[in-house]
Amino acid sequence: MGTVPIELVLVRQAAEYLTQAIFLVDEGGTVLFFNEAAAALLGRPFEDVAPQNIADWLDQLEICDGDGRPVPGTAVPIAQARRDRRPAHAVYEVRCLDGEVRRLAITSVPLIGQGGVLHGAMSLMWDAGGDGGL
Amino acid sequence: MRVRLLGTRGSLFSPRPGSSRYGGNTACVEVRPAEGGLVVLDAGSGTRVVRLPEGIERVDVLLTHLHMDHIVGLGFFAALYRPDLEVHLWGPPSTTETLHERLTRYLSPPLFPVRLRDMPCRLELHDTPRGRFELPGVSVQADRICHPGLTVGYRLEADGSSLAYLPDHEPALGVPPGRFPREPEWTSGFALLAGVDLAIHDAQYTDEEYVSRQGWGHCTLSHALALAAAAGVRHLVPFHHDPDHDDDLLDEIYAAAVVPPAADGTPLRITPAVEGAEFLLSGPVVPAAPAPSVR
Repeated sequence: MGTVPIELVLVRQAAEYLTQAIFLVDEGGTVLFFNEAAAALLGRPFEDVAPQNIADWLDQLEICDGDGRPVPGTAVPIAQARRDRRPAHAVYEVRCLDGEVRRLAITSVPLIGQGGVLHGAMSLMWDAGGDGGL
Repeated sequence: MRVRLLGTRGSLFSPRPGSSRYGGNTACVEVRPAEGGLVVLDAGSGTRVVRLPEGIERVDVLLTHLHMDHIVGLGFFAALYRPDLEVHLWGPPSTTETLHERLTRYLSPPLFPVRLRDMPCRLELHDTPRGRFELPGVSVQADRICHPGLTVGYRLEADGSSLAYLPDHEPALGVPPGRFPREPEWTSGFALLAGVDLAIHDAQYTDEEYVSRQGWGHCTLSHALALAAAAGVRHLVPFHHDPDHDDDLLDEIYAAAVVPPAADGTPLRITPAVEGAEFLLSGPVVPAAPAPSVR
């Protein structure tokens, strides 16, 4: 891995201090980091995850929309945010890596630096339980 | 490459007798490659005494950021008043304002009598690009580093030697105690520092002071030493001395410093920044004044 842009270093540092679940990918879609709160929702600590592309990461999960239809990795909010450079939001039923099925609300934003350079994207996730995720 | 320290103080001038050995002027470093022009790193109050060689046609001023202690000397920089000179000012970009607009806040009345646009030199302003760019006789690498407001660090390579300049840097911000420095790719400034012959680096605070000054944008001597050792720096010049640290206190701080072993086993040499000190890279180091010893 090359040097991580300072913008992403600072986002990671903030994520490590926050108790909200935060997931971070770089501009190429490689999973850079997720914090302890995200690990609790996804069912695996970050330290146990090898550097990999978000598409490969998502293949390990079973993600379905509200009607029970599978959601491709390219359609999840963090992929949309990175591709379209705009925020995205969705609520999914996700079978996580600990085998539990959780209803997760996910809001993703692109991380755009000076000169319009895309550095990556980050997601805030929370357990939506029975509510609509908003 | 010849490197001369013209201002070593951080944050504010410190023009008192008790700081005369380390110096009271704010950040400015003069760099002369064997062939090519003149590069000035930051434009603190030390900029007033930059030497303009005979026959020089171009000067490049690389600003790390626009805090006052790094630009206050611009209005007193002789090169700006010479119509025969081409002066290039490089500084961090902004989302909303040009470098000219931001510098003009200072270089215009009522704060300064001469407007930037009225400087007699042939002036060109540039947003510092991220990555590598070429100046006469010097290859420059720039990257954003951790300091409030957008700040860049520089790595200069010329004549087969390398210099890193990160005068204001808080790479330990947010890093849990005992885990600094982190992996190289996650450490601010690491790539700029990696393996350089000479690194001029922030070391403003003591460990005790840092406890109440986290987030202020600076690091401790311990942080600077640990980072330099991990990055394989050959010679570290701790810089940006706190204005409250007089010569005697700086002597004590450097005498007590413990230099960590370098990652590659190469011993890390330390020379605290002293105003007027000169370093000839690829040759013997020549401090202008006796530097305190560091164990």
